Amino acid sequence: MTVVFVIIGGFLGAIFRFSISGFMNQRTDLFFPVGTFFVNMIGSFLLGLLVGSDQSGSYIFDWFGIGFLGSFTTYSTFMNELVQFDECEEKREAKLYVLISLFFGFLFGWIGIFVGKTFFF
Amino acid sequence: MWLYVGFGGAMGALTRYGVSLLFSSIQLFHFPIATFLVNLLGSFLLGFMIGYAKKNSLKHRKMYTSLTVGFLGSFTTFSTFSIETVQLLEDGLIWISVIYVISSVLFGWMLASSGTNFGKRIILSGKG
Repeated sequence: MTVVFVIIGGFLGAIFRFSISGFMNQRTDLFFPVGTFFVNMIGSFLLGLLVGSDQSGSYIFDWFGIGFLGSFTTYSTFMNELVQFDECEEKREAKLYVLISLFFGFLFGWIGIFVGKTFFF
Repeated sequence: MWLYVGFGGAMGALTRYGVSLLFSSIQLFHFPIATFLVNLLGSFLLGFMIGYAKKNSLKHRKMYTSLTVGFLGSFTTFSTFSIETVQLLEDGLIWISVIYVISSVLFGWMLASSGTNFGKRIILSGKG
């Protein structure tokens, strides 16, 4: 049954990422890809929430955690955006984008776990 | 288009889940091997696809988006990566988490870059 849940979640997660991140990358004009950053941060927080409230093994974790959030957030795009910076000779921007993504990714993940443990466990 | 992305995403998530099951029994100092491997492999493959698309005209644009944004985007994951790192830190496995983060970023970046260069070198004439 887990397989079916992962497929459904993965289907929806990819579509949500495609729409939200595509829209944001087009509309906002910052030095880094805001859309990818945004989905990765939201996804880290929500997965933290699930893990913190100890949903592991439940069907919510299967479809929403592994399926939806796993697909909603992306690592391959993140890495290839760094290559795009390299190709534009923007080394400083690339490093800054990595550091910001990592720092806030871990921070939002940690806050998610904390909130999950405190309020939903 | 969103149907193509969704279908690719479903397959990407399923493959990622398969890899995680494959490695679930392997223990290596609590290092998250499965996520590490899918993220590196996916970064290389996405680089390859992007590099290829830069040098070749795409005949099946929807298929390309399905594979890149859909499959590879979903196959790799950032949320699991950050939660695993926080959990390693909370468990006091500071060095494992440091190694995990640095190696994921360094190798991921390198592989994405070499994938792009590799993809650019492949130029197909005719059917592609």
